[in-house]
Amino acid sequence: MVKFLKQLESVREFVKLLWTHRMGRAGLIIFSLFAVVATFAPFLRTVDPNITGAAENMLVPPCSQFWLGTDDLARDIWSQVLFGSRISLMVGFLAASLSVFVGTMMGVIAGFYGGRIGEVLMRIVDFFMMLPTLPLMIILAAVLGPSIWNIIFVVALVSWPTTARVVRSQVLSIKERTFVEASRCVGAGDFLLMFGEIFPNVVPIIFAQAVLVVTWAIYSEAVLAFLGLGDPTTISWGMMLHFAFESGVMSRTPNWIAPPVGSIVVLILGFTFLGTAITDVLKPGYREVRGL
Amino acid sequence: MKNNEVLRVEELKKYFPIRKGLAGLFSSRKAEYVRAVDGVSFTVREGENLGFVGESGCGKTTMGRVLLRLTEPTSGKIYCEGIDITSLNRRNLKEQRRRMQMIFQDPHGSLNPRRTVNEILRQSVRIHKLVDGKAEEDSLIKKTLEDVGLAPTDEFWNRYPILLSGGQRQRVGVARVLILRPKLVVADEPISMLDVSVRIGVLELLLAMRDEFGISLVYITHDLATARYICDRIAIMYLGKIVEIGPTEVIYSKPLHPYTQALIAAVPVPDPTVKMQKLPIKGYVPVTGAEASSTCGFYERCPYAMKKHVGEEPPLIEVEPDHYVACFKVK
Amino acid sequence: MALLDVENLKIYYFTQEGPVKAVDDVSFSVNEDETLGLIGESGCGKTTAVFAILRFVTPPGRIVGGKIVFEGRDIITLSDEEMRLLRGKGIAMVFQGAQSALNPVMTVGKQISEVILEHESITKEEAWEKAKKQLELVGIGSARAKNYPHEFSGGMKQRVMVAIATACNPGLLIMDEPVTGLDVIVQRQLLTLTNDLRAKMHLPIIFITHDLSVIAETCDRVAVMYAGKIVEQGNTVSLYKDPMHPYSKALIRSYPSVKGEKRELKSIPGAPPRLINPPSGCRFHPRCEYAMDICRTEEPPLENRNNGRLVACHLIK
Ligand SMILES: Nc1ncnc2c1ncn2[C@@H]1O[C@H](COP(=O)(O)OP(=O)(O)OP(=O)(O)O)[C@@H](O)[C@H]1O
Ligand SMILES: Nc1ncnc2c1ncn2[C@@H]1O[C@H](COP(=O)(O)OP(=O)(O)OP(=O)(O)O)[C@@H](O)[C@H]1O
Ligand SMILES: [Mg+2]
Ligand SMILES: [Mg+2]
Repeated sequence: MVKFLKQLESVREFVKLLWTHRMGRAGLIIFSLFAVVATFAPFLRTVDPNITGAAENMLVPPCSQFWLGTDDLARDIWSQVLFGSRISLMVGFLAASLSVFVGTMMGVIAGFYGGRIGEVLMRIVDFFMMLPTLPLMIILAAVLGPSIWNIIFVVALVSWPTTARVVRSQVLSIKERTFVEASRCVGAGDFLLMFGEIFPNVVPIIFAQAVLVVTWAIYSEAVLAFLGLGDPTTISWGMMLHFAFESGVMSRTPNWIAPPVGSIVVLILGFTFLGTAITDVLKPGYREVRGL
Repeated sequence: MKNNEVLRVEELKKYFPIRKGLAGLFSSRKAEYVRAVDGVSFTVREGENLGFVGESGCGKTTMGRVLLRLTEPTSGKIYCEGIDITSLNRRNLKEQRRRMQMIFQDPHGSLNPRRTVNEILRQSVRIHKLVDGKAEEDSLIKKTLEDVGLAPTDEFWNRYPILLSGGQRQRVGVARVLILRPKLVVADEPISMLDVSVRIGVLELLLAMRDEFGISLVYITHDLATARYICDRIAIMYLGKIVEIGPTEVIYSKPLHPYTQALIAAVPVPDPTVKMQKLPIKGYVPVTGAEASSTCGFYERCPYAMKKHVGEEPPLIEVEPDHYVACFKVK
Repeated sequence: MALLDVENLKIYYFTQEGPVKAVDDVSFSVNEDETLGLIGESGCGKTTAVFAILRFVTPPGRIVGGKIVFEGRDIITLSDEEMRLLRGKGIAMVFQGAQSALNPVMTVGKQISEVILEHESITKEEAWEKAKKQLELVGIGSARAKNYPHEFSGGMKQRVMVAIATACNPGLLIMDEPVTGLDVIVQRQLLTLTNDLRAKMHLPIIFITHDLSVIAETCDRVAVMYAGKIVEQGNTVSLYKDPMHPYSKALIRSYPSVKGEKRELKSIPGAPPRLINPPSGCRFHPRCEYAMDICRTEEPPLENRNNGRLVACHLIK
């Protein structure tokens, strides 16, 4: 419990630190906005977005009852956008965690050991990297069936090799620094060297990479759903675009297209800001130089 | 074996294979080597500072690293307090590491930029389980920081290396070593990258390690002036070999090997009234002999070189107690 | 009048964290046929100060104030074209870490003759001949004019840089830490070369280093810099024999020597300050054993003491 409180404290510290960074502040605002929206979606919605309405409510333009209008099944667009943020955030975070975890492990080990172990690991990475991303995603999504979990799995599967590469190249240069040798000299074993000495120095890169994967996952989910490979029973921004496209009236209903597209763009932008800010803030001495 | 020897090195060699391009793959000739350390033998006594001096590229750093098995020797034996380091396995090596430590040249690179001062020292304490419990650890770290002159310790406790000056960083480097109470420390040009005005402070600290804690020091440098200040004995290295070794004042007052004489003559003196001496030798250090040297390695540059000695190497002989020279001229 | 007169020079680097006062109110002069040593620790502003002489200070750095008069002309007010002509022909410089500044894919002879062609209207052949003469001068020998830089050792590359710098018979040569990082024997060869240039070509030199003994071997006069200011200036022999500023005193006392008696060395406490936020008053006061109250508040001016020595210290009245 005490430990948990302590961790909470350091998270707060970190957020405070991000707040001092211009981009970090923008990113935090955007991110918390969407986080709030996603959490409180059931309270913020005006109408249950899953419920198809009466025929006279089909494709109505924005009005006081339907703030952003309705789609061709008379579902409220405002409420759909709210619920869509849940899917996007979830896909983003889960895919990124999975991808970054696997990629970091592979990268650190391959970079640290080099030699035969590193060689074998990198061949595996190369194999996954050479797979054509979009076709693979489409095929897997088609084979595994339309489900949000499959999208997460697919995004993680195709994005971890990049993380592994980035981390490995960083580890390769860090392990040559004298402090690693100094630690070895004091008696540190391989595990401590990898995760106690080298790892803290790749954390900023990992964070930046994680943010990349998040944005990429959000984008991929939208694309797959748009192509009809999403789960039609869950509401997501991609799904909304898919339905809009299917309906054939896309060009006449900007109120149907703009909200999901705008949300995707703003959320991705927010994460990009966060990524830049995190890399800056984690540079050693950032805090001290500014007297924070 | 004398029992006050901390370190005994016998015929230590370290060869690096010369990497050749694709052509090398197909040539039938035997692999060639850089003989970075080429048959070095010496001892370090308890509480003694031994200096290694030589031009750039003569193999000083390589030797220091081999002594701690940070790279594996090609051949030769290293005994630390009678234990043969060269045949230790991984686990025993870790134990041994406590007794032999290294201070690095670059104070900026040798501390992890993401660890605070106390974390850096705590790592040493934890790895070797020096004490039990956090409070004990803290007090040991505090004490060591005071020993190396980083007081008040609170001020440095949570600092990252980037916020320390070069001299302070090097002191942390010394503290990391000192906390383990090793018997022998190898210091590879520990002050060459420090500001001039803080160098003597760090040197005094290295001297204090010998005088207060009885730690022997192998001091690697090409600065003869500071070596004179902190070393009890000096070994002069040339092309991976020791050409002269003896008590510091003897080496400085009557150097016997022509290379030693040249080195000493070359050092500028911080006194404008002293005229520069003429250098007795010419040329530059050759790229470490790829061919096995068939004569004295210094032959090309030696002002006294004699034709008749081509084909044999001068042995390291004792010319007076504790003073050894490898030169045909010296009888 | 002196060949070069630097008066109240101020150069600040305007960084995000605030201005770094790298050179703050520095004055010195170089006479015909004299070697001036500029000594100071890493980061005290030596390079910045001489960069200003060649107008090489680039943003975020800016010359904030002062005058630099070379052969009667104020360098700060020259046009860019005049400045280009002055560099190399009037004032030449061997840069810090210059060995790596040589073009790796051009022979050293060619590199020297290119510089000559830039400043003199002579034929390529004449320039080549001159380049060979330069290589003779620095002791490399004209036979190696067709070698590439990687075929030379660090010390030889440094000599090539000297050959390039002196190719157009400059009126003043600036050498920025030419021997730092070279080992003793190579360093000795370069120092001998510097002294030869002085003796043969009567070339005035500004010699920058942080090594007291190197200055002692080469310079007639020496200026001691600390944290962006000159704290003491004077004749080398008298300054070494009788340093007046506590910093010069401490520096000389902390310098070991290989010759003569083994002296007791004394360390200087503390570390050089960061120039973004230098100590108030005298910048050396936090490390000075004689610091008085006035040193904390008031900056001592650089004043002429009886024997032509300039010292900035409240202690000396
Ligand atoms: N890992 C390596 N692979 C191949 N050659 C090496 C390696 N390390 C060192 N050498 C060579 O071994 C020789 C000795 O190098 P070393 O670094 O020990 O010299 P040094 O005396 O420490 O020089 P310096 O004073 O410049 O530090 C050099 O010729 C160098 O090129
Ligand atoms: N481009 C820059 N931006 C900000 N600060 C700078 C810049 N260049 C130099 N400085 C600062 O100006 C000060 C003087 O630097 P300078 O390079 O002149 O020192 P120096 O005496 O030549 O040192 P060294 O002996 O290391 O060459 C230093 O504190 C340095 O941090
Ligand atoms: Mg070395
Ligand atoms: Mg400089």
